[in-house]
Amino acid sequence: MTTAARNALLEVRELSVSYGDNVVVDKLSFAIHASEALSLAGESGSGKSQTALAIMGLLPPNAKVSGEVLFEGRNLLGAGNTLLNEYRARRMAMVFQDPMAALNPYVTIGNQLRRILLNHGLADGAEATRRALAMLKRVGLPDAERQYRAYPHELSGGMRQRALIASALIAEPQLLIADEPTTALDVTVQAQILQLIAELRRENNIALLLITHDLGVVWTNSERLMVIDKGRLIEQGATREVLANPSQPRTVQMVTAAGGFLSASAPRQATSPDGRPKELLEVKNLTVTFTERTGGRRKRLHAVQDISLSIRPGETVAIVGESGSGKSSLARAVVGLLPEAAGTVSLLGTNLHRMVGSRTKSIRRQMQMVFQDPVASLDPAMSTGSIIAEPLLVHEPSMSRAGRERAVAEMLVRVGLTADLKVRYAHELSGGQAQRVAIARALIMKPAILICDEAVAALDSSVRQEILGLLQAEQQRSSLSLLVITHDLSVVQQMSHRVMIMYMGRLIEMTGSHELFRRPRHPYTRLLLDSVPLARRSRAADLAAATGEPASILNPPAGCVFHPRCAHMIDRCREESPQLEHTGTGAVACHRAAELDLSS
Amino acid sequence: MLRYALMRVVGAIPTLFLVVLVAFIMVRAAPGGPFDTDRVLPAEVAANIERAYHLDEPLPQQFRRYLTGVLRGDFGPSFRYSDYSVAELIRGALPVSVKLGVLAMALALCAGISAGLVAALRRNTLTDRVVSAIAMTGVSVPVIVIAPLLVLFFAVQLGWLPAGWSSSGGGSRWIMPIIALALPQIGFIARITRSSMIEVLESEFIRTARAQGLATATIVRYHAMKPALLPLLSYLGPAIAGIVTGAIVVEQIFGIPGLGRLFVQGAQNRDFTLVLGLVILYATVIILLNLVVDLLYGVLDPRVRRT
Amino acid sequence: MSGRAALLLFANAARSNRVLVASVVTIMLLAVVAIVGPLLSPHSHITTNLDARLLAPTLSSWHLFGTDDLGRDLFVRTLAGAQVTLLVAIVASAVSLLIGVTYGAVAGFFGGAVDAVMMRLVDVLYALPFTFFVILLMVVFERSLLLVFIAIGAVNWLDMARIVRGQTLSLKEREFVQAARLIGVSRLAIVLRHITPNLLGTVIVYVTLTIPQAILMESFLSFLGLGVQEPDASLGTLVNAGAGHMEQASWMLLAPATLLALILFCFNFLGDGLRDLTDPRKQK
Repeated sequence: MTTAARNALLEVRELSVSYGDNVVVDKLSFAIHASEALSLAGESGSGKSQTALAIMGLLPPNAKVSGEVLFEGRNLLGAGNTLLNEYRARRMAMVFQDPMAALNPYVTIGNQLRRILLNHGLADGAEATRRALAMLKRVGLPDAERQYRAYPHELSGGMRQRALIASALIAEPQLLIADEPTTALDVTVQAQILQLIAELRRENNIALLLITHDLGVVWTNSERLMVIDKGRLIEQGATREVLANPSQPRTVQMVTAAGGFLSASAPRQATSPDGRPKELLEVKNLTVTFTERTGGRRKRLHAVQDISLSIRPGETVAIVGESGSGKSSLARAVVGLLPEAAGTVSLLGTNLHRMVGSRTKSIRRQMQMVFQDPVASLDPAMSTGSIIAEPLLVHEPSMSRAGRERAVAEMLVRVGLTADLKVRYAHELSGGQAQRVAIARALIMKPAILICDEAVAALDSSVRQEILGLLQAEQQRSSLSLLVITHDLSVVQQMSHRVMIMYMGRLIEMTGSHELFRRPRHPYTRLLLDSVPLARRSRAADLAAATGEPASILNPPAGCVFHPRCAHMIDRCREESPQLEHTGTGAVACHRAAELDLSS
Repeated sequence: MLRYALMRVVGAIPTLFLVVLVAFIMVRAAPGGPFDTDRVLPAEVAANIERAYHLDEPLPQQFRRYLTGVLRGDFGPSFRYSDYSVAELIRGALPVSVKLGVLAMALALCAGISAGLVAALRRNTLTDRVVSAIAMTGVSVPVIVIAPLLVLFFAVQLGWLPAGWSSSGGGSRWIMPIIALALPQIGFIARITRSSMIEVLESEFIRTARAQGLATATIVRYHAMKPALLPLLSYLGPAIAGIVTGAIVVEQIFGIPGLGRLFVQGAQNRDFTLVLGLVILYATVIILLNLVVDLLYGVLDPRVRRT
Repeated sequence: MSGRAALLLFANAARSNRVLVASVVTIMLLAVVAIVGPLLSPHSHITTNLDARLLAPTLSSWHLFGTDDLGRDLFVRTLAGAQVTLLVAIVASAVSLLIGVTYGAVAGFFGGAVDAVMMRLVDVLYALPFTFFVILLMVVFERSLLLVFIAIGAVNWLDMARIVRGQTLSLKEREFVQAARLIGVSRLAIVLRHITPNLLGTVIVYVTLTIPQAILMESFLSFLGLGVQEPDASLGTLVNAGAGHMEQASWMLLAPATLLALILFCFNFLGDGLRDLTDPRKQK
């Protein structure tokens, strides 16, 4: 290590960061050589971002640090701003997670870039403008002259991240630290940004320190991988080897969560028992229309457009889409929380009222929901025990107090918690515990169907596996049906029998889970699959450059809504919106479905 | 943007109309007429007076007459100083009040913003604590306390400054009134500036700027100043209202012949037309200045501008 | 921020925020002194004594703060003024609690057209420069303490209504309220069990923050002679009288001025402290 470290670009020795008694980084050592890419992976709270901030000298003043951060042999840890500013931007630069927050909303993109050159004395007026504009072009901003004068809020999420990357690279640093650079982005956009970082790195021989919780993104972007947990290194090695043979349980969980599924277990087959009533839930022609006000003008937007679906008892159906696809509106409309919905929803053959408030009690208890943010879904003023008991108060008012307490205690144990947790309040629970309590509140109603709206999206990968396992166990136990709303294909892979893909409020493909991964029919589905980095390794070809981002739902493109981003677009797609055509096991809405072969 | 501005301007008209209407009705609903005195007037004289002031007309007609007058800048004759019209009285008192208010506002903005910025940039130091303590004093001690205390110390005890409004003129007579009027606003402005600057300095885009190796002075001037000072805009409305009401007290204590003193005299003499006219004037000024502040927000904040 | 969490925080405050605790204690002490003090003193706040005019503060005849130009005892008069000030604080809080919280909660919970109409009214009232209307009110009607309270009450609930409405709107959209609706909890039970307890922290903070404004308004009106009338006393009238006699009898100004400033300091510190306590950004 020491000989290798001698000509390292950056060497971190025994770095420790603590706040009071809380040690967040514990004697971490590693080195990065020129033009090498190293990934630092870990779950939230593992200390990975603190490490990055420590290298850049950006920790808050109350952080205590020790150890050394050597950049080309010079120790920067604890150095003053004057010294650090010689290194920042010009030798090492950083890209942050949330580009909206990381860019100044009051300064145009161009000026934010220009200012870096001016401040470091790298260029004067006209030259700085020219270089800033050139940099924006290099990170692939379409119409760069216009974006140069734009404010951050006028750009889409992916464009903002491109601009932020441009600002990091404009002073030609030797090392780029990227802290969760794609976490705030949609999966298809995520793939584009990762590809951009890889290209720029190759072109300019930049070393990369990639900080991430998502092992998927390390695959194409780094040669070496370090996994840290609670501030300590737990596993390291060549990226491919660690991903193929993870030795630590924590790493295994992270690999599974990242969608390392093509080599893992096969997708679930529909195990729906025969002889039961065929359809449990039937949704017909559901449409959700919002009225949006922009600049004093009212505009109607279709968050969900004419979607029909059905679920059998014991079946899991996944609805997949990126942000803005309308998948959450669909879920809320089905359970009766959206007054803006039209269409019919029937459960067990009974046609339901549109709003949950006007449905009968016996129907209401059959359909429950688990939300994305576990802490927000628990009343902060109530204890866990009273939260789980509340459904009993409503639906079984005759039950005795002791009976309720017994039922609550049983339920806590059933969802994998201990009964003494009933006195805790939501803010005293971890995310995983809170989500278990939310599931317990739903299950105590003995529902026939549970709707999970991104129920594991906010959880760390280890906790996510446990929650998914809990849901599956409940399904085995009582042939509970699940409607799983997610953006995450690994959740689809693990949980669902059938999948529905949504794009801009429309249903574009419906298929069995198995077929989805083997033989996608819609180009957008193909794009989604290709955007999961770990899935990509099975394809020989590199990701066909997926361009663009979903259009604004306020201004849907004419014809097929996906056509501006579609690699297989023909003239007809521009004019005519494709109908959903049923084909054997599934359905697809694409003019070219019959002729295209998109299988893996 | 232009459309937005136009909508806001048009939106202010009903409010102004409402002000005139409510104020007018309140005055007319008063128990006892303006000319009720201890002396009982002969019926004929009373009728003559009523006719002269159009008090014998039905109320809607009186209002219409009054409203058209106001639109032409005519607030009718004063009920007490019958030789003068309300407009003449206002015109006489306006310049000194405007000068006092503008100077106090300027002082409040300069001192408040600089104090707030210094405190934010030297957070948790002695400087910060001293500034915060002074700002809290400004916020907590009302004008009716500050103004007489200033007179007590600097005029009565030390004799450095004139206690009243010496007719001989001179700049020194302005010092205490301006300070008394500005102090509470300095307190509010310094507190707002400080907390907003601290919030901006902790934001992620400032961290980005630091990661870009920008010098601290550049970061403050180039990245932090505008977002830190924008929240102050929405305080300008209340600040203007505070200065205008504060001026009523200050003019009273220092004997300044401005609108405030005219207002208090009118109030104490139950000079209805004078008070009515002044209320409408004050309300108009405050509503229009609020409108200007709103439009300014639209110009300065890029996120408001384009939506 | 729930009621229980609020109570816990306020208990913790005793350790973490000394200024806050000192303000509460001072306000309570002042209230006790303002009520008990006049009972213990041999003087009454309206009895004049032309033989004892403009006496400096003295222990001998129990004129602790001296006397005014009519020989009335200033200790008792100042405390009578403090009583008015504290009464204003109570009335202002009651009005913003009763009208403001109810109005805001109703608008926020029902939302839609009800909310739009109710909040449009608040916006219009907001745009009116109330101080001048209050003065106008004082000019045309018989001046009385009751009128002062009505005037203050008319303005004071607006802020509270806006804040409670905003909070209710955001609470209503929170997942835990949606979960309660899916369970089948009735509308009334949702308001009582899930929304009200979560409003408590905010309401407490904003009640405290509106008190200084109400006190300022009363003292301002009384100072101008448009509020509390002679021979009754308010800190505003006393400061005005003191300002007129400061050259011969500075105590006439200093006693009420200091007390008024002290009360305002305490309420401002209290409001600031409570807001910091409940501000999630300032919690560790």
